[in-house]
Amino acid sequence: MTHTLHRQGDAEALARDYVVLALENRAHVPPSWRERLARRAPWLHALLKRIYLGSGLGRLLDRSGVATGDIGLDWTRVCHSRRELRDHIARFQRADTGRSVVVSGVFEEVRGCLAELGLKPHTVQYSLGCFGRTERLPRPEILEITTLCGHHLVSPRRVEELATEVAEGRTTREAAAAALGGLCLCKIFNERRAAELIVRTGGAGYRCEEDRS
Amino acid sequence: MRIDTDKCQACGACHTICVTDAISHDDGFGEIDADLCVECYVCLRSGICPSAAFVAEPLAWPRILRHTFSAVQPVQSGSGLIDGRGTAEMKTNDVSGRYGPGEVGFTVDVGRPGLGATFADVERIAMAVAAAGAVMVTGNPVTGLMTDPATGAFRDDVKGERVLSCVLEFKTDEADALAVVETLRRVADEVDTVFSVGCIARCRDDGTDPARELLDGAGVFRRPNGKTNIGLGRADPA
Repeated sequence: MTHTLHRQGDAEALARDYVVLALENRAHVPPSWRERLARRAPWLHALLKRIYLGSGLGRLLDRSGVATGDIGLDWTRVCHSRRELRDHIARFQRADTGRSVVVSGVFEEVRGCLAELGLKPHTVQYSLGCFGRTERLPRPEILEITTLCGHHLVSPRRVEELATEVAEGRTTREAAAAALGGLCLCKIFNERRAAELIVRTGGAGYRCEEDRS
Repeated sequence: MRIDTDKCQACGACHTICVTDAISHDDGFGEIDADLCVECYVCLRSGICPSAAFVAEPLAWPRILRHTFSAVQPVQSGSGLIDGRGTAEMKTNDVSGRYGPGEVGFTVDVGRPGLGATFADVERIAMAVAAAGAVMVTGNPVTGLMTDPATGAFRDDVKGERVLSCVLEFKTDEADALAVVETLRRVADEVDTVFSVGCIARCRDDGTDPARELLDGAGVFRRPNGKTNIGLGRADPA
């Protein structure tokens, strides 16, 4: 899957937008205590899981993808600065989880972080951009927002609609960004960046259904 | 997906939620164009309809492919042919070794961003790059829909299905990588959608990589941002 690869924007904006994913290597990493428990005492595992998920906090944590691992690290996280990125990578380095860690962001900034921590890139993936019928795409300001959700579950027209509401003072840019972020199930949508971008779009391109004839 | 006309209140709340513009409101009531709908369930999951009028209908083969590739969570197709939208690609390459020294990998997200694509378009791209020497990656669910991965030909019964996007994954020797990029440029004029291209390489011990040198040397555009596997995965844990 390539969902964090093709985020768009200028260098300044991209320098405040990093995604860190930690992926389990199922065939190689030793099982966690939870997996061992599930295998050896499935009844106890099921009972604990039911209690955990039955609590509001457990549901919230599971849904947000936050801190459900044994060591309390976020397996998926959006970082908003190079410093935050470096600190997050350092935590993985110290924790030695055995997971593969992938950072999406401006290469030079990522390389700089790695060098500070004594790490080197293992494998890289470049985005060569978009080919084909690009004239059918929404305007760039909208794409900067919709590509924050890599599976493109954020509709360009929804962005335009909410941008119009922000421009007309009917909602705040933070509320609009949160509404859009709620559509991204992988939780890689950078709401802080979206809140900045949605003001720039101004909603000027949005027309309601009746105006589209 | 369909809209229950008995429940729809013609409020217009869902006017803009569809990622492929499949929802129309000609008489005020919502209606879904079954051809444009990619069964991503965004409309249903968003909770935007105040009267819960969206109805997810049972999906049979091959329409189930729309949901499998367009919704984030993978589902069982019942066919045994596919398993989710994509693979771990380079994300676990520090453990899997999927892309080795001397190889260049490619990911082609067909239909992305946001236009969607039919598998007929996916086949056009696959056959073009296969003819240019690309080798399809096994285990990728798109490869699993091909009748012959060596040629990139697809099963006839899936070609009319539309998905929000799917990932063609293949690799070449370093020497053939630029020819593949040129092929992608050429086939771009033959498809009725867009596709986003990724290029993968394993780094050398000093952190440099051959893909960057190839692309920059040939003046191929690449974005300043992308993905870096930082090598913390462990194949042989202590």
